[in-house]
Amino acid sequence: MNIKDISTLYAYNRWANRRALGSVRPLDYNEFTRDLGTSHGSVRGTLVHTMWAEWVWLRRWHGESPKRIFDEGDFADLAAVAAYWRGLEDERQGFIARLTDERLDESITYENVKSERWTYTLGHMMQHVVNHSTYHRGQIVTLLRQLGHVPRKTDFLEFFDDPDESETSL
Amino acid sequence: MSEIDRIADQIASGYRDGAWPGVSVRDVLRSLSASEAAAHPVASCHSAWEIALHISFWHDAVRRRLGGDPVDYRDDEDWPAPAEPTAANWRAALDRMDTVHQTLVDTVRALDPEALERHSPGKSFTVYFMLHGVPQHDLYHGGQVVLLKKVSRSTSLPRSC
Repeated sequence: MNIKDISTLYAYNRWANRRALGSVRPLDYNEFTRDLGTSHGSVRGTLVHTMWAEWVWLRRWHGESPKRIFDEGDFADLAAVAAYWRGLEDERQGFIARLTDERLDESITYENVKSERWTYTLGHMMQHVVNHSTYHRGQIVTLLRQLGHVPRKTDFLEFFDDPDESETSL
Repeated sequence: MSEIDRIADQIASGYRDGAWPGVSVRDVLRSLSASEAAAHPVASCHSAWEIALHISFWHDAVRRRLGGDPVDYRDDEDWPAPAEPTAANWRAALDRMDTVHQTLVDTVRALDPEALERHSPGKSFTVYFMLHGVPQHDLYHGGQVVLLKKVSRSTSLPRSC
């Protein structure tokens, strides 16, 4: 894992998160919060879980071990989710801008929400976060289709073709 | 570990063990019966079988692009039509997906490191960029198949509105 890998993956992640949020925009409140039987219930629950994971890992990279799990009810609507996520992305961009290849190989120990201690290299953790978000973005596309909407794709193949898209900024 | 091996490991991991999200697209597809795989539990979504064929197409397409073929493709190649939904046909589709995947991983491991900076034939992106897309693509569709399986085995979840 090197800086180039990380920069590529996080450029994709930022693009894909914005596209996903843009696809959710047409949902009304009932659709946004409707329990569709996934691990995280609703579209809102899946988005908030994905965002929480990005947040908790960023905190761990800073040497912290928060035990808090976001409650989807704390995010009243999509605008609230998007605003929080935008701040998170900005903080992470600053973190990435200061990274070095050597730093990516360093190990970080943290406690998860169950107070279990784990140690991984920073590079592996950063790869994991994008993988985790990609997995759930695939689910969000499926949930939107369950609700009868036509989401825009967020897979990497689309990013190949349209990496500079800006219309999805929120 | 070389950069080539690291990328090859990511491709293998994204397909076989889910690369930390923990759900392998290969395993979740193999957990489905032929009839489940052929079904469209969410009306406007591809079936799991179609997704398996799509993954096979793209693993093979990336391998061919590594060999210089630009791989211009039609929609029916991107999303091939499944065979008759028999257990034997489903097993054959899954086995082919494994074979195509392993061939891609082996091809990546044999790459000259300088190849990473070359452009994929006829494309604006590099080989390096293309290869990072493979595990992301598998994870994305893995997340979808997990949901299709849940809806398929539920009598209460919405299939479309």
